[in-house]
Amino acid sequence: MYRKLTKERKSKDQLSAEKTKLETENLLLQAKHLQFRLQPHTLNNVLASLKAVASKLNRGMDSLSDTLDYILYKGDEHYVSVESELEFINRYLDLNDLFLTEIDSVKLNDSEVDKASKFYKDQCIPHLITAYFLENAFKHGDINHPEFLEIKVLLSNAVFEMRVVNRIKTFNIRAKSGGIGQKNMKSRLDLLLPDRYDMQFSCNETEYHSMLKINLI
Amino acid sequence: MSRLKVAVLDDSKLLLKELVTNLKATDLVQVVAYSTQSEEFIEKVKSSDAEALLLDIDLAGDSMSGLDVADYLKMPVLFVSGKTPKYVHQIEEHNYNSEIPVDHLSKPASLDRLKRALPKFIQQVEQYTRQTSIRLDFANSKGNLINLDDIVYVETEQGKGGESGNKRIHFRNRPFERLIDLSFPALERAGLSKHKFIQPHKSYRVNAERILSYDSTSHKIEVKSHNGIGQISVQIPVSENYRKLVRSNIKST
Repeated sequence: MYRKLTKERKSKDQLSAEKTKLETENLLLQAKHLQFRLQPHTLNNVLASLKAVASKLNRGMDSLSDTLDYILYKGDEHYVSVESELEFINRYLDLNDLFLTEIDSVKLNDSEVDKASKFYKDQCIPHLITAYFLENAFKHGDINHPEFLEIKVLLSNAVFEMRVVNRIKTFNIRAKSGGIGQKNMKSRLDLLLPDRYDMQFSCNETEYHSMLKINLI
Repeated sequence: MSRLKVAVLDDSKLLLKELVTNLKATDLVQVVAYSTQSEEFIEKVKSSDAEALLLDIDLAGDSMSGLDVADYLKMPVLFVSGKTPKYVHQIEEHNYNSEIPVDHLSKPASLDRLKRALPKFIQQVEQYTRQTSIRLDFANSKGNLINLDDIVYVETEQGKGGESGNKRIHFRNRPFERLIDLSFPALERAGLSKHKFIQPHKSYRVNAERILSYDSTSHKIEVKSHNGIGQISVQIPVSENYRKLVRSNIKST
């Protein structure tokens, strides 16, 4: 009788040990299974994002290639038409837009460019004369601001004008007097268009304003 | 012809920007509103003159899905989703329950694919917004074909102890009729397009073209409807929430 009882207890102990073992194995298996249960659609989202990045990259290369063409091959002529320079502004903005997260944070207004004016197609303004303003805005502006940059280009009555307003980070109010870029541009204007231009820069706590005006005759 | 005005919703800012950029590049539509978040999106759509929606379906961390947004706004919609197969039944449901155009496009919506998909969708939307008549069951006659131009406004009927489920529909050339147990969303699904009929108050829908004036001090709009003998002037209240929208639709007097 006693022997029978011990035997039964033994087998009970054995069974319970086996049960624990099986339970542990089961848990381990579950953990193993969960380890690889990634939500496949999250990878799909990653794929969609990657494709968006690839398409941005593609557009970026196109814009950069156009911009480089303009910088390298139009440079020999010193003067370009307002049309060409506007095209350059557009490409340059497209290129830089790739690095902005906000939508429509860069606005270019060319509604007051008189396309019928003879200066629209004539080579009348210095090549890349707008570049300094654009570079400056992207370099020192608050590029993540939803209304980061506003550019207005005007052409009427033989006057070309460009006004740029860009948001700045409030803690980034630095010397108002420009650096080497501004000096270089002024020297170019003095050489090419002495006494026919006006340039102004100002800044408040949130915005930086710059303006260039050229008398075309 | 002016380009179709669309509003775009995608929970990923990267993909939203890409979609907006591509849509602009097609030169087929004009993007008038966009957002990454359903609630903000609905607000923006309400205060814009959008004619159609482009909606992502799965909105991470949002209280609504793109399907919910489409149900709520009752406007023509092109679903743009990476998981269209998963939602195809719901999209079909959405399509069959309404006269409003519904289409879908799987992500990513590249420029090339948008250029191929948009013309057909635009055509559908234009047919819908140019729809000139609507079929309605009145209290005592069924299946009446009504010219949308003749409808001046629709109001919720006052029942005992508040608003009833019935509506009164007022015309410019015939006495009003009763619509039994018909909700405004059901009317919209039948073809009372949100584009033509604006909502100045939760109990009213008014044909924007029939509004004569808006008094911005008493906040009432004036229309003329037929009472069986001739046209009479009717003042319709404009609730605070809808004033901006009403003002954008008509000139204040």
